[in-house]
Amino acid sequence: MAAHFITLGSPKWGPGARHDATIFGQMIAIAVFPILLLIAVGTRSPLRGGLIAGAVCLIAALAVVLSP
Amino acid sequence: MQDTLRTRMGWLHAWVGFAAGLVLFCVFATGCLAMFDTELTRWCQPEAPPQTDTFSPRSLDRLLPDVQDLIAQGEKPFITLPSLRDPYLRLQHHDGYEFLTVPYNPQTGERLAARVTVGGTFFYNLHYTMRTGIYGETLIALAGLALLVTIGSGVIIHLKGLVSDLTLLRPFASRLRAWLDVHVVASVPFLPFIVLMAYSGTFIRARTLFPPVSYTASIENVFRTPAPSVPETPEKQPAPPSRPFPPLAPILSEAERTLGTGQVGFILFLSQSILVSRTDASGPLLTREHVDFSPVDGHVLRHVLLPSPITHTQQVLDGLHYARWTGYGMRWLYFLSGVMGAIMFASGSVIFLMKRRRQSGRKIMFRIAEGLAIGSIVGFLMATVAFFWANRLLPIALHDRPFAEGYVFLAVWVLSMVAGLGWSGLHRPFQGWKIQLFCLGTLGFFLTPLDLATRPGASLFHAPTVFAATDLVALLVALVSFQMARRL
Amino acid sequence: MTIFVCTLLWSLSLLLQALHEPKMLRIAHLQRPAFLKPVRWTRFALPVLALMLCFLERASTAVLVWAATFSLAAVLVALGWSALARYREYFSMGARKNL
Repeated sequence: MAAHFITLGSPKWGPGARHDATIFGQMIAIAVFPILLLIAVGTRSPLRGGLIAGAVCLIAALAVVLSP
Repeated sequence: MQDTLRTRMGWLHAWVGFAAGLVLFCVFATGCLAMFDTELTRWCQPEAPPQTDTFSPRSLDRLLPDVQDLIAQGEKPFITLPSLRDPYLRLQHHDGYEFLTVPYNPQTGERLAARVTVGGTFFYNLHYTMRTGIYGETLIALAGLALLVTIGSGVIIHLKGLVSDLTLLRPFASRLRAWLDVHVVASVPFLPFIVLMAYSGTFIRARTLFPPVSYTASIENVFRTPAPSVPETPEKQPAPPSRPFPPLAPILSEAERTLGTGQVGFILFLSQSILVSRTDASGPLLTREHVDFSPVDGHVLRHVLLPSPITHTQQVLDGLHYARWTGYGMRWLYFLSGVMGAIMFASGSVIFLMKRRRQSGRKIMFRIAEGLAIGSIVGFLMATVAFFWANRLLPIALHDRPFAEGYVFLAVWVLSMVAGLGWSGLHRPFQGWKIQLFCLGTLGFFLTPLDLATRPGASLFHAPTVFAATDLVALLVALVSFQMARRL
Repeated sequence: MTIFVCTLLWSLSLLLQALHEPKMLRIAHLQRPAFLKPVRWTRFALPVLALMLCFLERASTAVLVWAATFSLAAVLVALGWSALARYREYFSMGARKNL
């Protein structure tokens, strides 16, 4: 979901035209997805991993909602 | 077992790797073949002479009646110009599954009497859609993400021995040890390539996984409109009879003034314009820069080049993934890296099954998994070689020949999958592996005699590279298969 | 040509690296050769030389060619080393039988 929100919000905070910003968002989303999954599974407690991934997801979702 | 980062990553690596690995094996294998799609198309059309005359721009006009026929059928045809890889002019169009190509003499523009075939583009399409359109693209993009996760977890597991075990290969050690070494040697040295391919490949199809609209809207769209995966043929509206196109030689010369001499790759015919596009071989940036001309009088409409930094990055990723800028040396390196990627997934799947055989060997899920592994790994390769057999053995006058070739491929693959599941279900998986490896070996071994017997003008002393290379690779696959069947 | 030379340089470098690894020496029944000490920096210099060659040929694709030749060289060294280990194993078994 975090990766999806990054792509969804990228036209608002990304550089250049809408098309460029979406591509930029997709570039980030593809890199973020495996990193977040590895962090979520890799932490000692599943709760901590879930919290980290959830926090990133929340920030990305906020960027979609709050960005002007 | 102690719960450490390594064990957690081991779990992730094994399960995500096996689940996506069977698809990714096919993706890597078809990727290797797609590297030589043009050459394989030439193998599939042995009637076309290996040497041709030099290209004359005037010959382009001889193709225009055929272009107009295709436009009248609602297609979007394009002409690819001769290149170092392919000496012919080719008229191409997408039939909803693959790009079908017809070769023409580059000097006279006469159509060459070559069989109709799906050719190497079959593997190109299979590589990213599995012949199921948008659903296949989404599945493969998802597998690409799984590949990135598997690579990450694999590196963490193997971090300690990353340098010291880089060239450690013990094929004569115990079976599990030997397979683990093969897995490591096929993956660690090729990490740069695999990461590049996984990232750029997923990025190219990112739109399917990360659309710029919300998932709810995307899902609604899927149910609202028919998926574009269905072959477009029934939906294609025959275009009204078009006016004759202007002569193409002046258009080509005008385009070369902008793009550079010898930099034109293909000419695409649309209803509103004629697009003359830069060749993909011009450099590592896949710019798809094009000059558009009016189809009425041939005057320049516009010159399109996207210059922003983000677009440049996208072009670099596309260019590195498609690798159309490469010479033969680099192309073979890409091929080898792809082969090693496929070996990485095959060996990974074998290790996954070996480790669980003692504990779960009798469980139904294990048997299904092993049956699928047999069908996906050996069965896929067998279907590939069967495709080349079908190309040479199917009657030349057969109606819908390209489809028939594809059906032979799919039939052999499905048959192999069913046989694999059968043998595995009967608790005799080794029998299944051995029989299929033997069949693969036999098909591969006899591909060279088949080629020599069915290629017009073939002789042992004059074997053009395209044919010799394909036959030799098939022979190598056969020898490896026989050896593996012997050692199982 | 660049690909060939780079593969050669990488192979030499990886071979020297393998000669520095106790595990690799053990499986091939080898002792660490005496000439290694004076040339221990060569294994790091050879890849740099290969990279320079790639840049001289075409800067835009240099890193890609460099990485690809590294992969090829690693496979070649791995195959060569396993063949050597097998040969040495036979050799040492034969010597033991003769004793």
